[in-house]
Amino acid sequence: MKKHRLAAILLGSILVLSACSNAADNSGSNTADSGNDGKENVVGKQDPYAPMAEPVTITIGKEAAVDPKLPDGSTVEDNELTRYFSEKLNVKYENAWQATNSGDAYRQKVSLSLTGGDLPDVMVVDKQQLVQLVNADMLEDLTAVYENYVSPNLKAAYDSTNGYSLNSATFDGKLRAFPNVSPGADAENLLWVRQDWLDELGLTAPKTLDDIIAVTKVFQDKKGASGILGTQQIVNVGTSQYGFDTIFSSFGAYPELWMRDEQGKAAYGSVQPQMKEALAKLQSMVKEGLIDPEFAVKKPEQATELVVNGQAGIFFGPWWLPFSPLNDAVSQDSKAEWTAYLAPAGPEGKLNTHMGAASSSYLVVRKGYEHPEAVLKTLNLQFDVDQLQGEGIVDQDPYQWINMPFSLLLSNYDDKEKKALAVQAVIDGSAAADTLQGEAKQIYESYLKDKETPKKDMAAWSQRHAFLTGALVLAGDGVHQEQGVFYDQTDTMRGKWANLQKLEDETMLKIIMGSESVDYFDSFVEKWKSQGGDQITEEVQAEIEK
Amino acid sequence: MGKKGNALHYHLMLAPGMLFIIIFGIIPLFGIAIAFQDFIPVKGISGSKWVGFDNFVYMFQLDDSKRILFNTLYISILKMIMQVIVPVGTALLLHELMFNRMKRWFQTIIYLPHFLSWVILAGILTDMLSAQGIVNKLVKGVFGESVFFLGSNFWFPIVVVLSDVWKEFGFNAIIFLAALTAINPSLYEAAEIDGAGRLRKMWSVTLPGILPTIVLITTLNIGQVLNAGFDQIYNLYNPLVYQSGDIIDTYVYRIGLVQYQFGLATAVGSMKSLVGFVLIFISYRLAAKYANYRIF
Repeated sequence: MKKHRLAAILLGSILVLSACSNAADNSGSNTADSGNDGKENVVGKQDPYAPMAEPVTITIGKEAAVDPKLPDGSTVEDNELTRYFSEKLNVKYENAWQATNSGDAYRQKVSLSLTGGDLPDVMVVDKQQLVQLVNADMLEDLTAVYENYVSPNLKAAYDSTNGYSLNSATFDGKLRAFPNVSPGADAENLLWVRQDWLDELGLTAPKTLDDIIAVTKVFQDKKGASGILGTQQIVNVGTSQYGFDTIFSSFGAYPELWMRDEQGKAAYGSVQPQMKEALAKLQSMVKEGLIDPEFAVKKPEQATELVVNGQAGIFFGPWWLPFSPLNDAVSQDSKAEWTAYLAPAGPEGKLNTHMGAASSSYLVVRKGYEHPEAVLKTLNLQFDVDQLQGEGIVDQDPYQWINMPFSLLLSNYDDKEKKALAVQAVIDGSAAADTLQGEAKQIYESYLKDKETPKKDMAAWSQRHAFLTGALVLAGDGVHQEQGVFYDQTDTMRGKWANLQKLEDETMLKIIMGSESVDYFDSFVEKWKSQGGDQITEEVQAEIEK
Repeated sequence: MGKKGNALHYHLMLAPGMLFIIIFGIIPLFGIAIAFQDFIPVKGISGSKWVGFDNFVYMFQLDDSKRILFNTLYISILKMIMQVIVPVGTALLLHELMFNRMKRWFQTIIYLPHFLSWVILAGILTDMLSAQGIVNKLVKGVFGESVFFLGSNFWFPIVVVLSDVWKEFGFNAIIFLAALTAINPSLYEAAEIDGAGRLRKMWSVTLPGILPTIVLITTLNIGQVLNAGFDQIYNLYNPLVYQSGDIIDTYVYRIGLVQYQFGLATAVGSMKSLVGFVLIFISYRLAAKYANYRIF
């Protein structure tokens, strides 16, 4: 699961749709003309799953898993999934090249084909590469294709982001790429606690920051546990394992997030006055030893070590932690029970959390590619197949979405919460088990398996707890989600952001560690503003007014 | 005729090396054009806008450029000095060892860390230098207080230099050991007859014997003076020690690769090459003057 998420972030794929004069000509026309699928007059809504009349080939800049784990006879290019797609849609998928999703390999390969001007028909790119391609006018206009060919399911997924996804791929009113949709839950941080310790020591579930501090103290005294885990990366909008994000937001501060202030103007979270209180609190927590003062030099792996060794009992992280590292921790110590809480609560009693960008990678189609609709049809089908987790399609190969023709992650924005709720309804008896499909069904099966023989099948344990312990609590109304208004880069940011970010990282850590006083924050804000921050804020303001 | 033929096959032997330099050293130089552009990868060098010296001007306006340059020089000069003193000292000591077997033993042990990557070593070092680590247990025993080595701007450069020396001194000593074997044994005999003791021999025979090698190694290192060690610092540093640990390479990495600022990154990088060139030029002249060392 973690891999999926990482992959979705790292990937940028460029779908290059051919200029397709007919698409452009007809973009204004919406009259249904279903009887005619001749290439000259593609007008109005078409069957989103119909096979292509003629065999069509799509060449792909393909992101592949490092270790695809495919049985003999299957390859990244030719496996059960791609064969299924070919057959269904009468489309042949050819990989122009493939690069692994480890590190920067794929991104570098994309950059290379950009500089070489040698684009495959489609590939996945990131936002900055998308903007470059649009500016160089190398991409197909997908507006009409989208309107005519999108499936209801895929459309619902795009709509679940309130228009964010499609808007982020639209330039001058033209859709230039098919964005990914990553689940909103990925960016929300929960408080993970060793439940067996809580029970053993007779503690109640932590709700506020003071509760968290009290629990941490007892864990340290009685269990010899380390304090709240942390790493160099104290905040990371999108996903931050071991981050202090929710401590900040319990004070109403949203570092690293572009949001609207009371006047509705663009404001950068890290320089807002609410930060000061949060920083003061964190500083005092480090002073008291509730947070390991060496967190500042630690990388996530080092914090993970403490979790797996059973030396940590309380820390922040997203819903998927049971997939890693909590599964390893439980394998080490079968007594360990982990529970996720919506804590710390803000003054309104809810967990405040920032939200990440719903879309960050984009499938682009090369300008001049003749069959952009074949690309969208593939995506329509990919979405459905992924919702079913390949059920009924793959039986020899293990199901992996990355083995599909295009490595673009597509899900509903509230995917995780929805599935968790559906499964919980079955467990509570308010719904029938046979209403569950695909991943939801798998979760339910994992739940049954793990209930029968607890902690024997760790894959089942992970899936059960990621959804029914992690994602489920996010589904209620105990969460206040703060959506960012801007996740891209402005012109000035290109030049000055690295510098400002360095200033920010340095300042935050120094204040938290106590080597600078909390009042130092004020001079940081001043510096930040004068070194380009004000200018960038204005640009962001202009962007969000567009 | 014969003479010419001889020269030709020597020249042919040069060809692969020359080819290598042309392909990997000279052709990529055109990429420096990026430093004068608002470079956009899709448009390539030919399509991107030319901005003159904008990137360089901006580089010098950056608040941090002085600090980064200072850090780079400070760390790498310290490293350079240590990387001569320690390996030479090691070589001399090893040379004095009577037993060959023991000598090889030591040599093997001290050059082993050279083969480990900084990714691994950084993990080991962070553990060793943490508050509960072995180093701090010693420090605490002696001074009563532990030291936050990787989070302190005073200690960080020292840790960087010492750990680099620890990783490389064994390997670097090999060259000096090789130079030592080339010293004519009759010189030692002559010195002995003149009544020289061990230290005197070391001072008056051994050291002058390997001086050209020391000068050569130092000269070659000076060209690298702005390479303070990306791998090492990138794996060890954190925002707390940007102030003392951020070097040109790590900074270029952050602005260039993380923020896609290729133009600025190239400008900073080429400035580094320019300074490196000037330094190697000067040091070569010095080497020629004081140690009579010449490549050409």
